[in-house]
Amino acid sequence: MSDIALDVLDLSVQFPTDRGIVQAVSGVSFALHAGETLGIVGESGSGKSVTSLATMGLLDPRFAHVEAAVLKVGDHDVRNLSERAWRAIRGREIAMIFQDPMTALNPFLTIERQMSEVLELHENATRKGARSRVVAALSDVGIADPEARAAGYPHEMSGGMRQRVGIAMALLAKPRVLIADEPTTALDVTVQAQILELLHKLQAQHGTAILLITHSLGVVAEACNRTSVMYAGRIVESATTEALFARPLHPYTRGLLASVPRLDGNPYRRLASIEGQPPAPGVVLPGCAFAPRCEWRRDRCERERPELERFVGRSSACFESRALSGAGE
Amino acid sequence: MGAHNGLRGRGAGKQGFFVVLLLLAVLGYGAWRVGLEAGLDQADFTFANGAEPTSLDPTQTTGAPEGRLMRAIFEGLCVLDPKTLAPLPGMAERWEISADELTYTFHLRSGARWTNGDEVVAADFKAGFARLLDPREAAEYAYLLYCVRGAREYATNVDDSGAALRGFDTVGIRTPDARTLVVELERPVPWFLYLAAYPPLAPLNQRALDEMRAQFPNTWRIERLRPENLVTNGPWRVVERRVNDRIRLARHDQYWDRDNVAFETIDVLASEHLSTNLNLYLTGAVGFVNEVPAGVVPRLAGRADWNPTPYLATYFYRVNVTRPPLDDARVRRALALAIDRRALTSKITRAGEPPLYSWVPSAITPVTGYVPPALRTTTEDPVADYARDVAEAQRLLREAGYGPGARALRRIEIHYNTQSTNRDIAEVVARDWKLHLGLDVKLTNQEKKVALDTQRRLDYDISRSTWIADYPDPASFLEVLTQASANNRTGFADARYDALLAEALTARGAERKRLYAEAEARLLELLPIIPLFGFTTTSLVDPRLAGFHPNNLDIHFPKFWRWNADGERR
Amino acid sequence: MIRFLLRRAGWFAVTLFCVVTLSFAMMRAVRGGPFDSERALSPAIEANLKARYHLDWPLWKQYAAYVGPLELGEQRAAWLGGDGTRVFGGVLAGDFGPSFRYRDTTVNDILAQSLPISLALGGVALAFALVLGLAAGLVSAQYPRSSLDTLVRTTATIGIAVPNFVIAGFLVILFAFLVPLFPVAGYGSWEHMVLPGCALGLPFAAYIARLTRAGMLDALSFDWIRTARAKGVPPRTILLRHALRAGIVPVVSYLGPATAGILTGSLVIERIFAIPGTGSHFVNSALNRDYTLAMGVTILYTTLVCGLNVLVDVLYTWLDPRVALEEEG
Ligand SMILES: Nc1ncnc2c1ncn2[C@@H]1O[C@H](COP(=O)(O)OP(=O)(O)OP(=O)(O)O)[C@@H](O)[C@H]1O
Ligand SMILES: [Mg+2]
Repeated sequence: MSDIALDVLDLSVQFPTDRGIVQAVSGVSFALHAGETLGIVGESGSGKSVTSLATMGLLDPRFAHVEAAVLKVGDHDVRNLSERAWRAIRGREIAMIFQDPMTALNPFLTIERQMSEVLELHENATRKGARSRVVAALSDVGIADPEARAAGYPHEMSGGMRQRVGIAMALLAKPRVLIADEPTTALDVTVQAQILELLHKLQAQHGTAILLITHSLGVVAEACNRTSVMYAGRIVESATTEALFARPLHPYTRGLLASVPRLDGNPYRRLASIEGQPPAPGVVLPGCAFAPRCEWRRDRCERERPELERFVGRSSACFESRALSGAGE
Repeated sequence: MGAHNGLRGRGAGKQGFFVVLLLLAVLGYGAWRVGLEAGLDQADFTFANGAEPTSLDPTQTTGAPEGRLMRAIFEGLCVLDPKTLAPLPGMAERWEISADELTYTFHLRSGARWTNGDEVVAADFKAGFARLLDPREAAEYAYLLYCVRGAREYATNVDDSGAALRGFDTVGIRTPDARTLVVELERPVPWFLYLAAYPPLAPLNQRALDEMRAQFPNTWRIERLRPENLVTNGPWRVVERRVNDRIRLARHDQYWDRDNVAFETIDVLASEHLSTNLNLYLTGAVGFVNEVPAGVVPRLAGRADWNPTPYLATYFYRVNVTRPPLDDARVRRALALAIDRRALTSKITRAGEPPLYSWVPSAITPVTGYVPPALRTTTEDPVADYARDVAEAQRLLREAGYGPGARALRRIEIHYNTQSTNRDIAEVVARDWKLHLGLDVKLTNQEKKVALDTQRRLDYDISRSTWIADYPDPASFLEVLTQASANNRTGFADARYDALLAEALTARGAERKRLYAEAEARLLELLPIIPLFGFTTTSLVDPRLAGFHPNNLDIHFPKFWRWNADGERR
Repeated sequence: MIRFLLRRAGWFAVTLFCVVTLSFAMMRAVRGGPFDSERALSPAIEANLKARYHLDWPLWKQYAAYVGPLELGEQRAAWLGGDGTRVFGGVLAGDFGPSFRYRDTTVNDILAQSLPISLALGGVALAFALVLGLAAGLVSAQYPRSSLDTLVRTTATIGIAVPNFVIAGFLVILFAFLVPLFPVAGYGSWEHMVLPGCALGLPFAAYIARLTRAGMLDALSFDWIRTARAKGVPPRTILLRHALRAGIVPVVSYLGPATAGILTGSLVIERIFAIPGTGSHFVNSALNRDYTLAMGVTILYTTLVCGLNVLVDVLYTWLDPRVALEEEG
């Protein structure tokens, strides 16, 4: 068994809409190893959530066309998987926590009901048997008085506590992969750090592979081993977090980093905007999608789209990257 | 319905669930009980009786549905032959009428019993009549007995508390012995034997009433009429009553003519919805329905169970004779003549109603031999008749000073009580008046009791009405329009008319009929009312039901009902 | 809970007082009296009749006697019998008095006899409406835009548009005449309840189906539904456990009006099917100027509708743990 927990090759997602086809994700590839955290950063609308939902099989096939050369969760090939087969994998092999803890939990059900459900589904646990594990899981994520909380409802908790519940719930069945789609965006700054710490601690305990989706380079710097940068549905640069911050190869990454004053400054600042707008959904440019906003733009960039090019331990999709990477050196 | 009112905040409510559960349980239990209690086995005969009876006390009832019920559970001195309507022995096995027609002596049969086992004696009738006349009982039909010597004085002279000033011994009702009842009349009353068969003149078991009074000093009026307490002397007794559903009757085992009573049980259904009743009849759930919806009448023609028969009721318009121009008899006559009555009965009502040109309906002739005069002459040619009437109407209007070249008639308003047939009829009448007399007519419908109030206050021009005879005699119609009558409601007052009626009161035989004819002729000259047509019965009766005959009084005694020899119970 | 109920009881008392006073005034303001008929009464009889029911009193005294127990020092012919010192107990003592039209009975008797029947009919109709409406709505929401959904929605639109007496007519023709399965009208067995229950319940079933569909589709779009799917919860469990409670909140809000509607709808249905319920008295008593019966029915219906609204509010708290009955004074 390889230690690749999540293997994605050439993932594309299209949404046929009334106003034409929206190519939300094109040719996205990444491999996530056990115990590793991969960050995905990008502006709003760059396709981060669609990528994660596609990997979870949560896109409604009536509205989304998902294609991939490889899409494997652990050893399971999940391409064209039936809904029934997916259900055995979701929650057990791959779990997800969501951006808004206020709405991600069902307000009509007790915490215990929502959590024990996972164990009942995936481990044939009885409701009684599930209870002690639920309480233990809650206490693992640092919730005080877990027994009382388990019997309570989400609206009785603060946002941070709810996100802890979300994490506890996602990790209950000990999945290989955890996808965290902006787990901290909706939270206070101090709480953000606590949650990231918690994720880190649990990852160390269980060896879970984490796909961490975020707007924030600070979060990436803090939590990720490797980072991919997405722009307009494509990964434009991918590297170890260290290398990415030390020497970004793609002008977009550069732009992102430039807007963060210093690595040792306030790491939680949101991405400052780069001049201009990404192409509107549904608009496909013949050349590089970033070209209109790029300060190093050349004629070629507007005619021809640069492929993701591999360098030592990293990759980037820019005609200028080779020069920058010092590959010639 | 502000369902969100009073809702706010936090906290869970598990109690809510239990409250709901509890309420559902209570509801469920209720429904179950209702279902259980409803269980009654099929009766031998079921009929749709119309409205829920207002009371089971025969002195308190006036309507037709009550009458049908009362004739099943009470029996008076006489009953009427179902076919000929001739008086037959009831509680009285025979009777004598004095030569001056003023004294009736009834001989009660022996062995007639009440449902409590008591024998029916003459005193029971005296008690019943006393109760009917007692002013404190406020019986609407008390006046039926005003023909008895001293009865009117007894019933209408009251003290401040409403009690009679005179003793009942001043009334001409005597019981020389337990089986003899003598009634002395003030004047000859040719219909008195019909009255003797009439439910308000039923006997009363005084002992049972006194017992109830002792047992329920404050509520005996209600308690004594509950099925389990009600004491009756007719062919059936009441065993169960559910308001607006049914009254279940079971045969009275000690009834004197028990062996000739065919049905062991009868269900008397109370439903005013005509199409529902018709549906019940068509599916065989009931064997007799007293009235059908006007809309289906044309489709019933030719059916064996459909035998509309004229009876003693007139559909007419009251005319407010106090309002100009209706205070002019010529105008009223013009209005009366210009209506095409044949169009009304052949195009709207369509149940064979006779067009009426008299106040007393023509159905009276077979019952009493009285032939009402008419307000116009009728020949073999109805079209020519109507053309002549219209010409006469136009002439009368001109004579009264209205029409082309003279004053224009003001707009006339017709009030009718809300019902589709009434509206259709008023529209035809309005069209005739517009077409032939150039009259501008306004139609106004009013709810029934409001319409009555409008009449009483003489706050109308023309107002629709129905009059149904209380007893088979022209007087039952003609007395309505005397000046003193509270039923007049037209403002009509004619000394000559009143004098003729007063004279007829004491007259007998042919002389009496002549006086009434003369009074009616006078009425048809002055026309405070415009008769339109006579009613027919609109009942449907299972052809296999024997002993039920359509008749001019629309009175039926259930004791004669039975299935045909070849008719099987459904 | 207790506080809430007490408060509502207080409001109910105020409402009832207004209803009683207004309807008393309105009944008396209408022209025509209970004893008017084509045949005029003789003055002595009319006076006695009015005295028996105390219609000869000034209005304020009649009102006082109607509302509360009144010791009458006067010697009168009492309608019930007795010495006349007591007319009846008054509404406050739970005594609605004599019926002016059905002279052998009290309003209490009539209501006691007819109300269970109306409730049973209403219960059948409501149960029918709920079962059919919820089932159709759920199916419709589970398979939106399917042919089944279209069928449900078309039928519902027709069901809402067509008044119940027309439905009653159809049902009678179909199931009493063409296929004689049920009695055409009348009362006495459970079979007699089927057609009126359906006719009364169908329009409400149609409305409930619509509300359920809309509510469920709405509920299915909530974030926590995606969370549940990410846990691998199967669709039926999602529908019934995660979406149903939120989805039927509109239905519950509608229950109050629906029950009131079913109660008033039964006026017509009870007439058509000759069901001896309270509804048939509602209109008839007013036409007959049966003052006491009309008032009794009005008071009863007011009580029922108010009670139902409280019930609906209590139902909310059971459905949605975020909702609590208002506790503060
Ligand atoms: N159901 C859909 N139908 C059509 N287009 C869609 C649909 N879902 C997503 N998209 C499009 O796909 C693109 C990517 O959306 P996605 O939600 O993945 O962005 P994101 O990177 O997660 O942004 P954010 O940071 O705001 O969460 C957007 O342009 C969006 O318009
Ligand atoms: Mg997103």
